[in-house]
Order: sequence, then structure tokens, then C-alpha cells
Amino acid sequence: MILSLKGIYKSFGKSTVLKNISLDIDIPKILALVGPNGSGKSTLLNIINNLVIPDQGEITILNKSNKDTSIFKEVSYMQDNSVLYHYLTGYDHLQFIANIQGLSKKDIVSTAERMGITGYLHKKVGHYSLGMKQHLLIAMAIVNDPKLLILDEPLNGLDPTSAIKIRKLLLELYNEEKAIIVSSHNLSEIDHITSHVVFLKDGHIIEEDIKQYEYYFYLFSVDKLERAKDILKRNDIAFDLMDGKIKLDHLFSLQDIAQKLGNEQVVILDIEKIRLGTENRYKKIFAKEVQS
Amino acid sequence: MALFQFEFKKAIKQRKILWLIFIVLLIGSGVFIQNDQKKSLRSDRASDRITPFFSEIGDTRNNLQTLSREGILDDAQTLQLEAINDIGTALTLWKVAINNEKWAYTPIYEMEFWEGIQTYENYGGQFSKILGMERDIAIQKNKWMVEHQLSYDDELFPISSGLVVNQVADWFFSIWGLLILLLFFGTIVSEEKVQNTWLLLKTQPITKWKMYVSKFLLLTLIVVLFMLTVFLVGLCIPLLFSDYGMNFDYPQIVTFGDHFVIISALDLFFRKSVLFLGSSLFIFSLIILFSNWMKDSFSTLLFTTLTLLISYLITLTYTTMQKIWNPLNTIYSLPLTQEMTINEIMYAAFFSVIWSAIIILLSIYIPEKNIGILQGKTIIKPFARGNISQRQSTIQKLMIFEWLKIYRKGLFMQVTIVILLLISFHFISTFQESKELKENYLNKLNNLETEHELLILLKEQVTAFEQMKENDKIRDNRVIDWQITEATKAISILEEEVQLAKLAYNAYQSSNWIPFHQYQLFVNRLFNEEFETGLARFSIKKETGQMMLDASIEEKNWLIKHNIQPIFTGEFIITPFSYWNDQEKEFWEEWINRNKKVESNGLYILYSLFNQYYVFILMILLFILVGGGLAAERGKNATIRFLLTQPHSLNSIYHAKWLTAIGISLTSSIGFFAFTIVLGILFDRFGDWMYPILVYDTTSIADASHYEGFYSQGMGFHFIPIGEYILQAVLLYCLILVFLLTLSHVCALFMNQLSVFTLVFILSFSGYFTGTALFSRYAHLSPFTFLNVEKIINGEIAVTLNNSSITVTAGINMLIISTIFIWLIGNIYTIRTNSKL
Repeated sequence: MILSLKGIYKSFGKSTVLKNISLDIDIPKILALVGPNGSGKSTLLNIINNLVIPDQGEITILNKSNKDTSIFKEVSYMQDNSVLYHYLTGYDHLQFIANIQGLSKKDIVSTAERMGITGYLHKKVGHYSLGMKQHLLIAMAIVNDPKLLILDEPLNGLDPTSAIKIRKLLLELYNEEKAIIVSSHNLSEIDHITSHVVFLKDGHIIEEDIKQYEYYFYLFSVDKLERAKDILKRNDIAFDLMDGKIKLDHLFSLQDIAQKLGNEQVVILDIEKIRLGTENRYKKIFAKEVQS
Repeated sequence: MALFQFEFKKAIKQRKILWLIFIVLLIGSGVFIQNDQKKSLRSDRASDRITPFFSEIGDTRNNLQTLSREGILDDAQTLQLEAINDIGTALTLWKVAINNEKWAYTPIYEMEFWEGIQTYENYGGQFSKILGMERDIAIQKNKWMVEHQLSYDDELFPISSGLVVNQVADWFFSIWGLLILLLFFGTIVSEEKVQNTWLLLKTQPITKWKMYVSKFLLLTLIVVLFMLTVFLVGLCIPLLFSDYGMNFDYPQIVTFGDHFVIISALDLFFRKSVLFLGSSLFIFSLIILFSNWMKDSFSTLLFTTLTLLISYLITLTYTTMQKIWNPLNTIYSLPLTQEMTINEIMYAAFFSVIWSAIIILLSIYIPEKNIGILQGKTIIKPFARGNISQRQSTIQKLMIFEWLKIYRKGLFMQVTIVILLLISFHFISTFQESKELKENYLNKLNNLETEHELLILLKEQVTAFEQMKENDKIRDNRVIDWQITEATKAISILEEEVQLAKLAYNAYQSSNWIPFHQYQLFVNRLFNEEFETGLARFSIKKETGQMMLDASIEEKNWLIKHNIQPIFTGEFIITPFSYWNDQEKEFWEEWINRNKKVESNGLYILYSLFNQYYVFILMILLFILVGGGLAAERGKNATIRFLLTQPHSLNSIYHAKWLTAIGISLTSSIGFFAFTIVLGILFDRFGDWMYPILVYDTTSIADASHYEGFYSQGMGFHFIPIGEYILQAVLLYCLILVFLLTLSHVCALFMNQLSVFTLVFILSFSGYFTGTALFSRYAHLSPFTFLNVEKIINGEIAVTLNNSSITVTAGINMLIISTIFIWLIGNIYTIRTNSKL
């Protein structure tokens, strides 16, 4: 068993944030933790990492109690950037982790290269941009090659290129047989990396495989946008525009559309298949909150 | 106005003003409690003042009564006797009122006394105990008290509102008050630069002058609030806890040259406030000027302090600079308010404000710069070449990380620079002073023959008497013969002194120290009345106490025995067990200055760090640097969450932090002490390990049959070598630092950094005060009693509290036991606790 939560309760004053939360992760997978602000996502992650003590309940990580600090040799928790020492360098942070966890200098170098942070590793963190800090935090979380990786808002403050890279990295880690828990507000990003979602609502969790709620659409990049729009209108094909691209429902035949555009000398530069599911489901679970 | 309101709001939110008020309240209460504790001795001190009057009035009355009995009293003497009887009655009533603590009546009887003296002198009598301006002051002061219907209050330890307000003001409207304001609000601009909020202000439609002027106005308001707090604290505490009502009319003396005026306590407070306001505004304007150039708080504070210090030294050195237009002179004048006219005070404050305005204008028109003393490199080399160590234990690894954090933060360098500068300044000033004192003293020895005023006077007297005798101008030669005999005796003794001085001077030039000490021993014995001179001049026992004379003599014996190079200046050791009354305060201060020993050799300069309490500054700075413990990882940057998600226990982090703090602070302290000694060796010499330092012993120790020290003034004393003193002092200092750091690290498990520092400060202050003022019998059981290293080693606290258990050994034991006990609490808590954040 990688992670097991049993009957977790947590209150702050009169407000009960978590009510009887139970969750098991027994095989490597990517699990997304989703919920509005104040729903208790960070509290739950802090409880898993023994930073906050639950009022009730039991937590086991890799068959050990979460109070056993040795679990952190196999578990990493990436937190927000307030845990960084702004007067230390990125290397200082990684060197400390390597020292404490008995890793080698090679581990630091390879992780830095993997994360693309070598260029600024020897600068003080105080001089880092938000994105640089996120990269360092992820590097700190993966340098020890953990079996369970817990990431709190890993894509915060990342530019699209970096976000794509991190997405790719998470999928790589998943392929390396690691269990990953990701908390995020970015629902479309979640759709890119997993279908296993845990919604946190009113202190309870709703764990679902959101494949059943998924739907796809295509995004076409073309060289002559106006002509392409005209062709689609003439052929009664319903479409939308998104970021200068043509958005089409996945029910249309790609081959057919490509042919129609091609016949009139419109070149298709790129086609993206976008999966949407989390947002759909989110809208339903948090219907009240979304409407208000 | 909107900007000023915004600034004010920020200041309130930062809670610095609240802390400032709290400090004033704490120290104000401490001053009052201390004064209240001394209330029982109030009658004794008031009686001390009139005891000499009794003796003179008694003697005069006896003489007149003798003449009356012999029937040879003339008319004037008859009237004098009547007046003396009236004076005696007034004096007795005065004394009775003092004994019965009827403080409202003492001014009335004192007035009757002075009226009697006036009458007596009108009839040709002469009252010599108090003469000239001193008497005028006493009479006018008394007149003022009667006119304003005031009750007597002890001016040394007052409990009435008017005097307490001024005493609290003396504490705060001084260089210390300026320092507190500087530390609290000196970073008002630089902090914004560091936190980038300065950029927010600069990207608003606000001109630079508005930004600076609003900051300066805020600082002005803070100073006014500070002064108001001092006033209210000084007013309210006595109102609540003493029988004196609200009265600010108590007379205060302002003297300038041979003139004096009497003003009310409120007036004096006002004058002190004006001077302080001027000084604060000048300093704050400098802060704004340097903030304009510097990029961080440390650089701003360091540059401001250095500029102030250098300008202050220039002002002190050159008399041409000691003028009313010089704002540094205003700061220098802060403790001298009672020697300045109101015009001088107003002009000094006015010029300070003008200077402040000029400096603010300069700040506005001079372009901004970003200079930093510790310019950080962009690329930083990794620690230990970036290598990973596998051999160390978890605590060792955590300790290295702790050290790395302190080092990288830059604070360690900043604190080191500040301490090294402080030590260097202390050394330079001591070196200069000791050089001057040595020159002056040796000159005095060399020229004693021609400059010994008393010797010259006595010789002139003898010549005059002999001439008078020859001319047969005096009917009864017996008196004149006695005078000549006594004067001749004194002359021969003083000539011996001159002879010894000459020998001492010559011997000193050839590095032979014994004759020098023998000369000083002779002077000590002379004042100890070991020679029959018949002259009152050598009788100072009543004032200085026998202890000072005995200790001075034994010190010389020690110096001769060990052949130790002299330290200048003066022949006597100053002890706190003296009996100078208020009237003799000036003479006492002069006496202290004459006998103050200043020396820049390695050992003595290190001794002076302890003796003059410089080590407290060292201790406080190091404590602030490393005393935060786990609390430093909380707050806005909750780095504790990172530490707690690594494979080590909370207990390991606690120990690593604790051990690193102790290691850094002790190593640095030893380094600073070594630096001090090296400075001494380089520019002077190492010093004499055997140089004697006086240690007092309580009566119970001195009474023991095996006691090997010296008995004097109801207690004992002995000497220890300065080297031994330093070893004890360093050991105690280290243990105190370890104790305070342990305390702060345990507190840091439960609270934030500011609370930790405040709590440890309050515990130390109140612990020391409780032990030494309230529970003196049990003071040896409190580790806080031993915070005053100097007075523990020299036995002053033990003797003052009459508690012979207060010793260095007891201090070592108590500090070790307390440290272990507190450490255990932290250890058990960190092992057992589950709650981590």
C-alpha cells in the first residue's frame, strides 16, 4: 500500500474542514486533488505529511506511520515557495537534501539538468522568478527519487512552455512507477495528466475516474484562418474560435474536414486533441459555488 | 496628508510604537519600584544632610554658653545665643519631622532654620557648614517649596510625580533613548527598499519630497508620542502607587557659572524634551539622507551611526565645534540640561531643526543610489565545493546547514563588523585616554615640588606666622606656636611625598615600578591618617569609607610584591561603599575621575569590556543573531515546513539549532575577546596577569576563622589576579550565553521570534530585579542574579544583598543546572510532541 487514509477528521475551531476522509492508493498512479479555495486541500496534504495532526484518523504511507520521519526518504512533498530560504542558493537547498538523505552530488547534477535549472542554481533564491522557484521546488521534491510524490499547486506561476515541460515530467515520473498526488486549480492541466480525481467538498471527498465525463475537441491551426472559417460555414460545420485556432467537436470526422480545407488550399499547420472532463465534473459537483 | 496617514497606518500595523510604549512602561516601572524599595532609607539620607548642621550649631552654642556662664558675653553674642537657640529648636523639629517621615513639615522647619541662620549672622555670627551659592540654592529651594506647599521628596530616589517624570526622562532623553528610536525606526525607508514596497510608492503619482517629508513628519510624531509616553508613565505610576499627588512644581536647580535659577520639575521636563526633540529630528534627518543612498537597513544604520560617532568625536576634540549651532553639541548637551539657560536650549533645538530641514532638502535633491556595504555576489560558490558528506550524523548535517543559513543571510558578517568596530572604538578611546592620563600623572609627579598647592600654602603660612611673631602682633604666642608646629609637621610629611614622587618619576622612566607604588602607598597612608599632621585635609575616611583606604593600601602592597607595571591614574581604588552626600556629589565625581584607571594593554582592555558592561552589547547582538531558534523558521517564510518534511526528527532540528547557536556565539565571543587582546598587544602590551582586582567578601565570610583576606568597614576584601578575573568572567559570560540561548530555543518551540526575544528580555530583566531587589535571601537560587558578571566576580552583589551564597562557583552551578533543566524541557517536548506547526 502506497498511501492509506482512514477516517480523517480535522477541525479548526468550530469549523470542520475534513470529515471522515478515507483514501487508498495501492498502485502507482497520478491522483489529482481538486476543490475550491478553503476546501481543505492543503490541510489534507499537510496531514498526510504529518505537518498537521488530525483530530481523528490513521495515515499509513508505504506501510509505515506518517509520524515516522524516515518515510521522507521515499516520499517528497513539494510545497509553496514560502518554504524556500531566499538567502540560500538553489544548490544549497539541494545539497542539504542530498546530505540529509544520503544522496550523491551526481543526483543533484542530474536532477538540476532534468529540471533545466543548472543556469541559475548558484544564485540566491531571493533573485529567482516565480517560475524558477517552482522548478527548484520540484527539483527538491524529485532529487531523492521518491515512491510517492505529493505536489501542492506545481504549475503555479509557470509559463505555458514550463507548464508543458512539467506536465511531461509528471507523466515520465508516472511511467517510472511513482505515485503522484497533485493538488491544482488548473482543471484543464489536470485533464492532461490524469483521469483520477479526488474532489474535496464540504469536508468530504468524492473520488472518481472522470473518463466517463470526458469529452474531446480539436484545435486546428491553419495558414488561412478567414478562408477556413468560410469553408466551414459553407459546409454547415459548427465551430468556435479559441486563441486564433478553430475549435471543433470531436464528433466530426477529421479526415473529412482536412479534405474540405485542403481542397481549397488551406494548409493545416497543427491539430491538437483536447480532453475535457474535470471541469465538466467540477461544474456539476460545485454547481452552487460556480453559479454564485 | 493622505500619504502621511498611510505612513502612520503602516507604523501602527508594524506594532513598533506599541513595543516602544511597552519598553517605556517597563523601564519607568522599574525606576519607580527601585525608588520605592529605597523608601526605608529616605529618612537616613535626609538626616545625613542636616547632621553637619547639628554639629556646628551645637559647638557654637556650647562656646557661647561657656562665655555666658563666665559672664563675658557681649550684647551681640547674647543675641547670637538667642538666635542659636532658635536655630537649634528649628533643627530639632526638622530632624523629628524627618524621623517621623512628616515630609510636608520638613520644608517649614527648614525655612525656620534658614531664618534663624539669617538672624544669627545679622548679629555677627558665622555659619560655615554651607556657604556661598550652595547656601543660596538651599534657601531659595526651600522658599520655593514653602511657597508651593510642597512635601519633601528624596531627589536621589524620588516617588513623587514631578521628580519621577524627570528621572524617567533622564533615562530616555539620552543617548540611550536616541539609540532605541534609531533601532526601532531607523529603517523606515531602507526597509521599504529591501521589501520592494519603495517601488510601489515610486510608481504612484507622489513626488519625492512628499515621500520624504511624510516619512520625516511621521518620525517627528513618533518622537512626540515617545516623549508623551515618558511623561505619562512618569506621571501615572507615582499617582497610582505613592501618596504624593499630581504636582510638577518641585524645585529644580539650573546652574550656569556662578548663577542659578530655580525652575519647576515640569519646566525642567519641558527643557529636556525640547533638547531631545531637536537631537532626534537631526538624527532622523540623517537616517533619511543615508536611506537615500543605501540599499539596505544595515548599511543605512551603520553609516548613520559611524557619521554620528565621528562627528561626535570631532565635536568633543575641538572646542571650536562646541557651539550652539552644532547639532552634535545638542546631543552632547542632553545630560547637561540643568547647566543651560532656556535660551541656549531653545537655540540648540532651533539649530537642530534647521540642520534637519537642510539635510531633508539635500535628501530630496540628491539622486537616489543603491550602495551596500556587503555587496552580494550574483553567483555564489557552493558550500564545501558542493560535495556531499556521508560520514556525519544527522545532527552534524543539520548543524552545518544551520551555519550555512546564518552565513549566507549576511547577518553574521554584519554583527561581526559592528562588534569589531565597537571594540576598535573602545580601544582607540581607551588608548588615547590612558596616554593622556599617564602623561598628566607623570607630569604631576615630576612637578609636584613646585605645584603642590598645600605645601606652598603651608610654607607661606609658616613664614607669615613667623613674621607675625617677630613683629609681636599677636598677644598670645601659644596659638601661633601650635600653628607653626603643626604646619611644620605637615610640611615635612608633604616634602617626603614630593621626594617620593620624584623618585617614583625617575624610577618609572627606567621601568622600575616599585618606587612608583611606594609613592602611591605613601599617599594612601597619608589619607589613612597614619601620619600625625594635625591637618583636616587628609581626613576623608568619613566620605570615602575605610574600605577604600584599606583596599588602596593593600593593592599597593600587592603591586610591590609582584612588581607590576602601574596602571594610570590615581592612587585610590574606588569602592561603592562610600558616604558622599548630595552636596558632595560633585567632589565625589571628581574623585572618581581622578582615580579612574584606564589602560589599553591586552588584559586590561579585555577586563574593561566586562567592567564597563560592553559584553552586554556583545551578548545582545549575538543573542539576536542566533537566539531565534525554530521561531526564526516560522512567519511569512514558513521554512519550518520544508525542514519537517525531511527524514529527521523535530528533536534533531531543535538540537542542531541549539548547538549551532551555542557554537557560533561562543566561538565568536572568544574570537572577539582574542581580537581585543591582540589589539592591546599590537598597540600597547599584553598586560600583567597578576594585576590585582578587588573582590569584596560578605561579613559572614570575613568573620570565618580561616579567612585570609582583609577586614574593613564590617566586611572583607581580597585581591585576585586580573588573569583569574578574566577567566572567571569569560566562563560566566559563556554560561550565561548558553543559558539564555537554551531558554530562547525552548521558548521558540511555542512562539514567534519577536515574542521569544521579548520574553527572554523580560524574564532576564525581571528575574535579575526580583532576585536582587525583592528576594535577596534567595537570590543565589536564581540564574538571572548571575547576569551581572562584573558584580558577581567582585562580590558587590553578595555584599550588598548580604548573601554570601552568591559566588562565582554558585553562579556556575546555578547556570549549568538551569540550562540542563530548560534543555530537558525542550528535549522532552520535541521527543513527545506530535503537533509540529
